Amino acid sequence: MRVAIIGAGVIGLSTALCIHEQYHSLVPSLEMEVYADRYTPHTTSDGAAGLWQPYLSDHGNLQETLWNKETFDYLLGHLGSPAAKEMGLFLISGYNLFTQPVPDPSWKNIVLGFRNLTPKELELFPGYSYGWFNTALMLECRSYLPWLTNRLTQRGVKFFHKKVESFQEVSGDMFARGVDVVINCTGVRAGELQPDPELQPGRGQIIKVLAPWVKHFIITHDVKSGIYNSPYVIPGSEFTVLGGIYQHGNWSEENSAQDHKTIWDNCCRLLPSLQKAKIVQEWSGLRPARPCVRLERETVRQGHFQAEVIHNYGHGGFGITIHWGCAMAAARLFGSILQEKLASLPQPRL
Amino acid sequence: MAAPKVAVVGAGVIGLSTALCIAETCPSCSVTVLSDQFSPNTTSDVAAGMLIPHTYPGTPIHTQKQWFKETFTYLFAISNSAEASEAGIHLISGWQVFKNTPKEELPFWSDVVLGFRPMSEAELQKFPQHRFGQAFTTLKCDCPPYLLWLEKRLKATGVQMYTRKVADLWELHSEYNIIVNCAGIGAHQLVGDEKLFPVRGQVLKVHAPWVKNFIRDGDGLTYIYPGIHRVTLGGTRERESWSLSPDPGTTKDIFDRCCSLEPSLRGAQDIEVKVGLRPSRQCVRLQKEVLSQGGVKLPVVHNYGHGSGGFSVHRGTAKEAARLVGECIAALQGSSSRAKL
Repeated sequence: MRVAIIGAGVIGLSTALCIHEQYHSLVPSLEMEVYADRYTPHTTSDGAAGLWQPYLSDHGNLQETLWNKETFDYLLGHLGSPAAKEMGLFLISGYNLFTQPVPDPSWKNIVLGFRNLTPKELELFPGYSYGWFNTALMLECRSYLPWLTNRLTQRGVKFFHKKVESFQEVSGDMFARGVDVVINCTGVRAGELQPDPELQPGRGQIIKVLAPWVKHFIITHDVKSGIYNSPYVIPGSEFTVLGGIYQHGNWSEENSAQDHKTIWDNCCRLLPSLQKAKIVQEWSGLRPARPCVRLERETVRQGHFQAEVIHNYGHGGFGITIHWGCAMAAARLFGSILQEKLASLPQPRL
Repeated sequence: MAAPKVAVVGAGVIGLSTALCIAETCPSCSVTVLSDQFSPNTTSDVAAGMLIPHTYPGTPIHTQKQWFKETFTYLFAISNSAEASEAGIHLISGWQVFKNTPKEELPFWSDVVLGFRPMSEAELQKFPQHRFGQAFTTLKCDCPPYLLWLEKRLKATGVQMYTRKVADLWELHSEYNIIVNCAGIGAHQLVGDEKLFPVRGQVLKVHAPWVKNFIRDGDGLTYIYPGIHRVTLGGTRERESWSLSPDPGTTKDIFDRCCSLEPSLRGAQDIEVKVGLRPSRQCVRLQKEVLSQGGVKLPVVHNYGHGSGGFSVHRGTAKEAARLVGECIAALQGSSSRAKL
């Protein structure tokens, strides 16, 4: 049985691993291949700071809240293992700041030690009158993606550096034998494989600095400007990420001088000690924004061939946060495809 | 008295911060720091510099709380300024965990640090051997940066600093009007204080930049304190041990204890071992004394014996010492004007 995963960001690689872990022993003939035009460190995932934190509101997407929880619990379970360092996984505490009281988020009981900020703590952040403190997780993709790649390589999964132009290309008769299942983890460019007007880029820009004295994440929120359009500071294991840009519909992956100034000025106002931080890198990326994650099956037909496609894209700015829950949901869809294929095989005569 | 000449003996966190307070409160004073050691070779340089107070049995709690609060407020302002990284001051959050629930669940300093509260069940799950814990946010003073920053501030106010081993405070009486004794563990020999004793501490300083939270066992023996560049792993509390040589068996023991609290430390790199002698005493000796020899008087202000709590109260005790220096100056000026009559 041949499975092709398109896309090698956090979604593609984790979905591949999850499916292989669960079904390899059931399907000895399982051949898995990853196709992508960008690999780490050039994926969208690589630009993310790596903080586990969903958006403030789940907009009624209870399933996504559940996938977020599954991801957090899965990662928390790996914290004490020797793999944690190699995965780029560690605990981190920090602040969410608001200019007015807001309802508690759907994830307040998922993270550790969630509480409101005290008046003394708020003194640190002039202009903000309300906030939260909690301990969450960091999962740095510059470590996590290579770790996933190693696990997959050990399992015999093959990688191809190729831009896939259509579903037909992998499943059709261009190849010696067709692919049975295609997992579509193409992120922001999923529309190139199949038009999806609901999928839009949420352009972000970040500045990576050296500021090892910063030990907390600080995320500010401005109800008027919307998610991620307000400054944030996220310290990693080596660099600290400064951000606060979210431009819906902007496809540019070029760094903007105006955005640089916005980020720098706002973050230094938020955390004056950053004035002495050394700038190391600037990066822009496109969050694959969608009203909800597209995680579903589809049978794609073209002429005389067909393949089962599992879509798993549209994770916006919370891909790392939700990735494992989605990978497991995709694996369940794979399981039902498998059941159908086994059921449709000719039965032995008794 | 035109410009009182004040000598501060000792250049650890107590000596330097006291000299700075004196320079701030007495601009007409000429202040000089004398020490046989400067950063990075002081006891302070070995310490992690965490603002978690030590309780002195012989000092009233309200006084200790006042010292801690003054220190915390002073450093809090620096941590929130552009100078924070140069001064080595940063906020840090973490947990103090106990194998057995402590008698005192609310220490006297719980409302000075930020966000103090008991740990939740979910947080305690990370520490299976511990049954109770407290979570809070406090400050850390990294050394050498903090001492170097103090030295820079001192030079800017005109304070001179000299490397000099002072064997006896009387050596200084012809050059200085007032002596401030911040000799730390050195006071044992310098002024013969038998009540001062070393509590030896061995620590490891390692490279583990993914550790962002502190973890401290309530017994005070095992702790993980992330600094700007290195994480301090500790430690030991060996009373009456004067040895400054690292012990390899102790190194392994500290490392193992810390790894059981934080398993990811197994991947730590570049392990450096350091030893310091905490200048321990029932209470901090913070008082005036007038030494007398052959009709000559020498006012001395003592500010030593901070044990494991030096960083936590340094600014508070420095301000009190500066106030006592002010009293000494007033007394000298009073007696010199009487001498004119």
